Amino acid sequence: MPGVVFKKTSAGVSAEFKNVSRYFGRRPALCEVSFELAAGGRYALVGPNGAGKSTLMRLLTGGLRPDAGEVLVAGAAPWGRDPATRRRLGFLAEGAPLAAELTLREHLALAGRLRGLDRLQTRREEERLCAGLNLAACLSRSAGLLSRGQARRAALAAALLGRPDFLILDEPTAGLDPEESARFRSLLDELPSSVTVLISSHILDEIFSLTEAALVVNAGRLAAFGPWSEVLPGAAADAGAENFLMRRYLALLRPETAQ
Amino acid sequence: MNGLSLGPAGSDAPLSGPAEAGGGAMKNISLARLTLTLAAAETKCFWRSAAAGLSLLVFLGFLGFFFYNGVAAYVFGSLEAAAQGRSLDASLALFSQGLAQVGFVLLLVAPLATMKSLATFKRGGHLDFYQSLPAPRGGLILGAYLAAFVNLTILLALSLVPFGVLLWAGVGSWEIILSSYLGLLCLASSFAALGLLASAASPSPMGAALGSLGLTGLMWMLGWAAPYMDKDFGRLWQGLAFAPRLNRFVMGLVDLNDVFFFLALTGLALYSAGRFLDARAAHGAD
Repeated sequence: MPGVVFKKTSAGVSAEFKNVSRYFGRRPALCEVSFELAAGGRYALVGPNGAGKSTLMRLLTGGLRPDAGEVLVAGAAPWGRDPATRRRLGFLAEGAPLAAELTLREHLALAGRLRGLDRLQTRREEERLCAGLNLAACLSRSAGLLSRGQARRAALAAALLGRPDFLILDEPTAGLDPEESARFRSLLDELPSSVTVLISSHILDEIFSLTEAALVVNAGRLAAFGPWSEVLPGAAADAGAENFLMRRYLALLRPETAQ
Repeated sequence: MNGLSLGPAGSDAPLSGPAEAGGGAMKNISLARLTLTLAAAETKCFWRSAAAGLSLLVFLGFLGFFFYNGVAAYVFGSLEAAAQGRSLDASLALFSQGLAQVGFVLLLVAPLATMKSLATFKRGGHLDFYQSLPAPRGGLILGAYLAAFVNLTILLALSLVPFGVLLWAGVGSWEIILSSYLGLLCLASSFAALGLLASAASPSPMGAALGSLGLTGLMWMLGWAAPYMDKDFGRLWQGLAFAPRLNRFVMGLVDLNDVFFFLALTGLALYSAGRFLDARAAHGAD
C-alpha cells in the first residue's frame, strides 16, 4: 500500500519509507513499502512471523540497507556515515542482546559510554531506569544469571539510556510476567509526548492499548497503515475484546477467509 | 500503577526524550572512544569466560611441554657436544627454537580468543544494538580486534617467564628476546585479524574457531609446500607463509618487509571482516 501517510504534528523524530524493497538472496523480505511515521506518534507494527517486521525495524535502525527505495529517519539515512541520526534512536532488538559475562551495571555503563554520556549522566540514568524497571536488585548480577524477564528489562534499560527521541522496540514484553508487562505499559505512558515509538508485538490487545496507529505487514507488503480505527474499524468500541481484534486482524491478513 | 515512578524520588523526570539530561543526552562518539570502550568490554568478557581458562590451559600446557623438551634436548646436546670438545649455542638451541614454538602455540589458542566476538555479536541482537549506536561502524571491528590482540598479548607476556628466567641465569641475549617478541606481536596481530575475519564470516562461534584455525594453520604451513612447487609459485607461497618470517625474527633479524607483511595482512583481514559485516547489512541473511 504505497503512499500511505498518517500524520501527527509534534516535535521529535519522524521516519519515512519511500518504496522500500529489501531482499535476502532472491527472497523478498519487504516489497515497495511506503509510509511515514510522524514525530511523537505511537505505532504498532504487527504481522505474522516472517512477514518482514524485524527487517523493517533493522532498516529503521541502520542495521540493514534497502535494496531499493529510501529510508529516512529525521530526514537522513540511518545507515549513513554520519551517526547523528542514530544518536536519537533507542533500539530494543529481539531476544536479550546482553553479554553473559558482564553485570547489569557494567552493561549500562557500557551503553552510556557508547552513547556518549558522561559518568554522572550514566549514573543518574542507571538509578532512574533501575527504579522504573525494578532492576535495582540485579545491578551487580551477571547478565547470564538474569531470568528471561530480567534480561529483557535490562536490554530495555540499555535501549532507553540516553533518552532517545525515537524508540524502536521488538517484542518488548516477550517473556515478561503480567506485573512486568504492566510496568512496561506504565513506562510507555510516562514517556514525553515528543518521543516517537514503534512497537512490534504479537499481543494484539496489549499493543492496541499502547499505540494509536498500526502498520500491518504481511508477506513483505504493507497490508494496512493508519489509526487503529481505520485499520480495524470498530476495534475501539470493543477495546479489550481480544477475539474481536484477532478476527479483524486475521480478516485483514487473509481477506479470502473473512466472513 | 503504584510504585512505578520512573524518576528518582520526588522527580517527574521522564525516562526518555528531552529532559534535563538533554533529550537525547546522547552524543556522537569518536572512533577512538568506541574502539577503546568496546575493546575494554570485550577483554573483560573474554577473561571471565570459559574460553580464557581453556586458552590459558592450552597455552601454558603446550608452552611448558615444549620448553621442558627444549631444555632437556639442550642439556643432552651440551653433554654430547662437551664429550666431543664442542659447545652448543644456547641462544640458538633454547631461545630461537623455543620462541618459534611459542608462535606455534599461539596459533593453537588464537581461535579461542576470537571465536566469540563478531560471531556472538551477530546472534542475540548484539550487532543490531551496536549498529544502532551513534558511532562510526569501523569501531566495532577495531574494538573487537584490539580486544583479541590484547588477549593474545597477555598470553604472550606469560611466555616471557621461562625465557626471563634463562636470561636471569645468564643464558641467551636480550636482542633475541626483543626481536622475537616483536615478531610474535606481529604474528598475534595477524592471528587476531584473521580470527575476526573468520568470526565475521561464520554464523557460529565454533565455525569461527575452526575457520580461524584453518586460515592461520594454512598460512603457517604454506612454506612447507613451497619446495615441491613450481619456482615462481614456490616463491609466492614462501612469501605468504608465517613460519619463515617468524624464523627470521627469532634468529634476531628484524626485516621491515616482515613487519610490513604482518601489518598489511592485519589491515586486509580487518577490512575484509568489515566488508562481511557490511554485506550482512546489504545482502546478508536475516
